[in-house]
Amino acid sequence: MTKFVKRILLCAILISYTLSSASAQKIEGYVYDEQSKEAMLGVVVRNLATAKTTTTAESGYFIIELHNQSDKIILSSIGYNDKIIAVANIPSKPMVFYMESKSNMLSETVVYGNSNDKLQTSNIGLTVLSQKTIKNIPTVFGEADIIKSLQLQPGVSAGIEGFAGMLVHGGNDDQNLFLLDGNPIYQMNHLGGLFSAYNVESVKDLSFYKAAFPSRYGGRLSSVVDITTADGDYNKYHGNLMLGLTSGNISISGPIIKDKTSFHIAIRRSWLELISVPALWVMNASKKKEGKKEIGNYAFTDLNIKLNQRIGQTGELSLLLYYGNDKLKIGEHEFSTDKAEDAEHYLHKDINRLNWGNFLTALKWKTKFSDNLTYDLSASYTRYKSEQSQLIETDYGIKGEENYEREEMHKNLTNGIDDFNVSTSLTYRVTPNYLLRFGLNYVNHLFTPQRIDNSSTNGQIIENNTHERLSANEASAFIDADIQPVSWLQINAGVRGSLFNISGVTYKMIEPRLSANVMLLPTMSVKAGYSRMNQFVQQISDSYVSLPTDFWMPITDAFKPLNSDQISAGFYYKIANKYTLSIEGYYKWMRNLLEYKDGYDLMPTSISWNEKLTSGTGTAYGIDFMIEKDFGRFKGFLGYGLMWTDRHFDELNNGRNFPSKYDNRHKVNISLSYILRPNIDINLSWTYMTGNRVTLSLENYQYINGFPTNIAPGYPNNDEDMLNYYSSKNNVRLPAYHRLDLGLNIYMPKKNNHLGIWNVSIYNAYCQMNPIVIQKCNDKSTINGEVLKPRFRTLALFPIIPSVSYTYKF
Amino acid sequence: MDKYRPAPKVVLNSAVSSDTVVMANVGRTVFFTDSRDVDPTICDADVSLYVNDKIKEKLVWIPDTMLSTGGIYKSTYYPKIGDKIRLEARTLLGEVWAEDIIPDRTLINDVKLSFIERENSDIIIGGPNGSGYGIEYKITYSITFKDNPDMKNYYCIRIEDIGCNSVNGLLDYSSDDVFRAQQPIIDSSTSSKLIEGQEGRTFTDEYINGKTYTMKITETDEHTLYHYGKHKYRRIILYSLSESYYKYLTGILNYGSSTISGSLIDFGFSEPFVHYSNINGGVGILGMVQSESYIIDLRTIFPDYWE
Repeated sequence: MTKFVKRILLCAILISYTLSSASAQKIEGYVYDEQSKEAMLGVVVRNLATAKTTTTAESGYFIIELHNQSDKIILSSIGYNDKIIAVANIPSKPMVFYMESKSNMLSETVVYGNSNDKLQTSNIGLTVLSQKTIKNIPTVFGEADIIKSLQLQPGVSAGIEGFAGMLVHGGNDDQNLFLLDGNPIYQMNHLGGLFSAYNVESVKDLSFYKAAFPSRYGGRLSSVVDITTADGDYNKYHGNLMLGLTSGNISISGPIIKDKTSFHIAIRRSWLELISVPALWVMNASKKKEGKKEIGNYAFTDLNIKLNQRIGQTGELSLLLYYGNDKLKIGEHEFSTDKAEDAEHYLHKDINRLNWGNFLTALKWKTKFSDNLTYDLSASYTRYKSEQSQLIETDYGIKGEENYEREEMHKNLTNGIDDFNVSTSLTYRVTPNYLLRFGLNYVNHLFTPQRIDNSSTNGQIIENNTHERLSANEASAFIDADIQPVSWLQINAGVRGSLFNISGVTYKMIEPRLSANVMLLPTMSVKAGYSRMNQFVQQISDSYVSLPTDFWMPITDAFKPLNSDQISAGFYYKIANKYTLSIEGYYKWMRNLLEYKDGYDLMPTSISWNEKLTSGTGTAYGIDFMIEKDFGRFKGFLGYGLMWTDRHFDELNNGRNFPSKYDNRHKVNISLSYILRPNIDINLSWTYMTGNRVTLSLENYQYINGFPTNIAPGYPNNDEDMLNYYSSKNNVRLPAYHRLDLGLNIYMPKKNNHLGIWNVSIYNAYCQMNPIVIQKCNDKSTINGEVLKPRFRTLALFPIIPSVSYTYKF
Repeated sequence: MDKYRPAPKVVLNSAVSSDTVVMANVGRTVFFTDSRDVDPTICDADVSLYVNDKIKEKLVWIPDTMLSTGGIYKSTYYPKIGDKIRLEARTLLGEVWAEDIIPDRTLINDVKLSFIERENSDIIIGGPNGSGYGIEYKITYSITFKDNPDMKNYYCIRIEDIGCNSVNGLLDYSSDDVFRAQQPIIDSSTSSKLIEGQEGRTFTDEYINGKTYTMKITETDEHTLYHYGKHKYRRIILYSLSESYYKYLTGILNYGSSTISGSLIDFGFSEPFVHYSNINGGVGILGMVQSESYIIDLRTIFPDYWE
């Protein structure tokens, strides 16, 4: 009881202090980007005398309390030079400040988030990356990649080498919420994950949360990647053209009406056809005599368009359009030739098409009702679609002539989601130390879990069509407050309520969120947080790379929503005003995860997808350590992650717990950048990781033996004389993984302030062949006359891969 | 990998048909690297046969050096359609058991043959007048049978030569809608549309329930092989399977590394296919099967056969 009274008193004191601070002296203002004149969100505003901090709202507005008129205020933001304000006379009106971008030639260098943020906000597990940071991380094929830059963070497993897996704090790939200006998209990969689906040229910056999620985010269990897309420039035209080994992209930004309307457009496309089309042409020229033709074509495309319209002094309307798509066409033609034996005309076509990707369009209006109150309203449509089809056509004879016959078989499998989304939010700064956010969101989901269209014209196969579409309604509301009752304490507290209605079932979810930051010293803080998350849609996959066979499925009456609870705590310390040390621990419980049942592929193809799935639980816990330096000629970070994660499904692995495939116990990342000369910088990234786990058959057993073929069929002749026996899932760990990547940027100024940038990257610089799988080898080849014994061997995919790209900025 | 070496498990394998007495193999699993050195056969097991929940007899170990297992456990009982068969095996490694019901037989109504002749650029024939492409024959087997509409049916189809060996020519099931429909689209997303199955291929009546169906399978080989030797006959076998045996055989016959799914597994991009087993306490299969054979003479389409 005494404790309870003490807590009540403490709360009363804190609240009265918060409210009383409203009457203290304060300075208020707006922060804009000097170049684009856009309002800047999230600029950290800090009173150097009192150590109190706040951040700017979407309108760029801030208000902060002063101790006396000699206080100095510092404004800091990623990618911008810090601005120090000495306040002599406090004006009666809000002041206007312009932040100078570091985006001149010399500062095309890595900025690893803002170290101040980590100490002075209540967020745990938050990393902010600018476009430049992402671009400077060396990657395979030299393509700047959002996901691959996030893979370097401690607590994030990268999945299979080279592919854009992102498994955060022991979660799964589909548990990451990707938002483009607040609008969710589903598919983030091209070509199985070799490239991420979002063009870095259209990224302004991104915020990556892996714990203590603010209540304005919901819908996924493990992480939030909130991408702020690049706005168009209201004043002048500029852009860039990039040519890489596998793709090229062009982006242009500028005013439509100066200071009023702007646009930003970026398009990227692969050009693998430059190799595949001539190769196929040569091959088909030689096969024509045999009456054969091979068909093959693959391409990925993404397009980003953003239009901004200023409305009045404080309002802005923006239209966002994103389209990302992969297309694969592959097949063969067989046809009669001029030869005598081909007297009858014959044409057989067998073509497969795979087509998958996202489309998003969003209209957003944001405005400021007063200096303390901002409002936004948006409506969007998001579509994810994956379509696999096969068309087999055979013509015997010539159409219209006697004895003409035609056979046709068509198979089509579609998975998709159409989301119609309306959301609104209010941000109200009650006092300089008390920021309140409130929001509502409604989504109408139209799921196509598995649309099957099978038909054939020869009448033998009964048409087998499943056109199930499921409509679901999701509504959510959140309230979220940033409170700084005393200069050494910051609290983010909120709650999110969600309703999800599908197939006559309504799930009601409450998600409390809380995080707090206690500044022990100006250079030291500790934090703690808790968050509950729910997820109503899950990607069901039978592979570890991103394929069009990965289906997004809704939660239905058969399965409850995915759910997680995560607690986290952190220690942050700034060393010698140069380095920021952070140590963050977490424990996460995941429930109602879905996986395919064992042997699901033996079930009839027409069976309901629900019946192929089973639900289970997972846990993950660990520590993320990071020390970083984000300014000066020499920048970078050292990250270390320690993690345990496992799963339990009653219908998998005989009901026994099993480790997650990405139960990577230790992970070390070193990422460094050094400005060698004013126009040259070099980048280095080294990764060490405990190996992934694999399901490996360690034992074998015999086939049925001694039965004639009229009783039991024979068995395929292969190297394996016996069948594989699998004792448990993820039973073997691959050898440790390590890799060094290097990058070099050379900046070449051109006339008219244009700039050419050569980028040279070396992926896997010391050519470490990291195994991705262990295979069993039972061939009886000989070495020095001795027959080799059955043996395990590893397979690696990526040797050293140099790449080069050229960017022309205009 | 030795640190992962597990304790062996008991293996029980049997295919039970009304055409023969009940037989079984009993063995143990073997660590992969020892698989050529260790004899996995257990020949001192106590194997019991139950029919319709009543003990029928103990199976007796019969040595047979022609078998890789060195022998087989045999009963004297010929089971009947609809019998519930249960086998139990007690060994020093533990006890295992399984049970299943013998399905009905499906008859083959008819088999028809046709063929086409074509050049194959993969075969270059050299001669005094220069070189040219080899000639190959593509035979189409049209096999007609009637599915029983009253029950869920599981099948396996096999084409072999008269010596009970798999044929030399390449068997391709991609001409038939049942196999096309059964194949995941992702597996047909290659330039080769071949659906393989030299030892046979399983299917269900999912798409042909209750119908009289004509299945098409092709065999392709170099033309001279069809003009002499032992290749003049073909035996077409239609197996009617229990569900368990179907699942076991599907994993063995239908899933190969030549498909995209198989390649994904080989590269570690996908979970491996775990073979179905219905053996409680161990691994293996107790499968129920009825087979129907149809022998056809290839000389009906190749009259210039050289004896």
